Amino acid sequence: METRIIVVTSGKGGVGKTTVTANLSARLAMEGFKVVAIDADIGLRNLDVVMGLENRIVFNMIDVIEGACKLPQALVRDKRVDNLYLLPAAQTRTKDAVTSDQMKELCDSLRGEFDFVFVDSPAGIESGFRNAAAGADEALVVATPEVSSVRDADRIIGLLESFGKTSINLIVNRVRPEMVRSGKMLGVSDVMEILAIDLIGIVPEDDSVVVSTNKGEPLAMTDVSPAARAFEKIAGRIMGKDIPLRDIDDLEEKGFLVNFRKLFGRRGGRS
Amino acid sequence: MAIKGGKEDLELRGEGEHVRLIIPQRLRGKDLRLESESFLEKTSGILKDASVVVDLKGSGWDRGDILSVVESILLPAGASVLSWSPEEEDVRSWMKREGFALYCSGTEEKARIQQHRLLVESLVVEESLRSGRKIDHDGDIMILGNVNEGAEVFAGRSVVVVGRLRGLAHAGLTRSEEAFIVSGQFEASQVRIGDRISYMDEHCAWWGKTVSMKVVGGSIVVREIVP
Repeated sequence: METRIIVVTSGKGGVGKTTVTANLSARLAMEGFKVVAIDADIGLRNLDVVMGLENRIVFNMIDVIEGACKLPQALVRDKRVDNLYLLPAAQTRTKDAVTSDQMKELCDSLRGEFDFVFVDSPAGIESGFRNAAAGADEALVVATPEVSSVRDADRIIGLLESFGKTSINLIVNRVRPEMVRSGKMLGVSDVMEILAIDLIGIVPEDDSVVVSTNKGEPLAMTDVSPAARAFEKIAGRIMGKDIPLRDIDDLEEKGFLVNFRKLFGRRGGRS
Repeated sequence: MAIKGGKEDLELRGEGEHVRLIIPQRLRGKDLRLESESFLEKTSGILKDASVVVDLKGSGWDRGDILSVVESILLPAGASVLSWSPEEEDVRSWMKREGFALYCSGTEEKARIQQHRLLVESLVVEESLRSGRKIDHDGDIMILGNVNEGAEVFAGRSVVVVGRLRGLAHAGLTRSEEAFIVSGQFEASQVRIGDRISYMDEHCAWWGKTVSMKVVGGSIVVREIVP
């Protein structure tokens, strides 16, 4: 298949870009695709920690761009999931260490080698974001149902459109159905009404995300929590599967079936 | 207000109802393109759709120099010339002979400004404005979409938003007495017409409704439009 390069962005920090990148990369790799996740947050790298690969980094993206190493030398292969790779950011440099043209060249050099390239964008609308978006064909905009996040996402979508990106999809993250129902949180439809782009998935607020981040093991690899299932569905939609979006009420799974799954249903990967 | 690139550089001054672009003598006869790049970066937002009086300092300005000013500064910036103000009398003479609008102080210039404004066409924007977009135009502005929170519309005259207005609309920057704001679905926390500002929230009776607003008796008056 033709390589799809997807930037994961949001504008606002702390809405879950890195979590989304790690989980979708892992999920698609588990589906048999060859995937690389690029950490474009130079100077504030985190994707390696969330993916549990921080102690295996030798070279980074800047080393590749500056010619200190070859691209394959900087790619960190995940030993838990076949076909999953990380291209880490440099922690000791700043966003100015790379230009949009260099980033585009780097992304282009991955074409043909991978099925999916996910670029984890830094927060903000400055050069870091612009560089991350430069080489991408598609964008996933992550927003939480908060007014500030939605406004920043709106700004980011406007910029992506001005860069000529036509495939822009929305992930609404950290939704708390009980708060939406009580009117204390924006609903997904409110977010959709403002942002007016295609929704590709809704991820419920889930404590498992914090646990998995601290363990360095993307939820998608091992878990059956609501967030893990949401990432699985989003990955399916990215693959082109026709998976209907669930009603907000269905995000909150309760009762014996979930407990049963938690006891016996751990899927794939390590337990 | 004044924006300068440095001593003896291009300079921009706000003078009440218009902007004055001052071009020093040393730039005459040179390729202005290189000099103007950094200047335009600083001033592009201000000069866009602005009416400019162009000050030509020193002597010897000819047709080629004027063309260079237009090509290097005025066209890229999107500014329109209100009048030319050459310092040297000889330059003033040939420009007058060739039909250039020359700057003259007092009521004649005011009349020219007034006439210029009447000629400004309406601006129609055929899309929604996302957060961070800013539209600035001397005449009327019509947005065929929404104005999202964080987007701004500044109009010399009236603003019409066919969709939802959540961002900032400022109408009547030059002709406040005739200006109005119309929104298909009004949800903005602030509107401005001329020098009047009104703050609103979701408790207003007209929140989410189709409304028109204009200044009556010194206050912004809102009227719900019922089809």
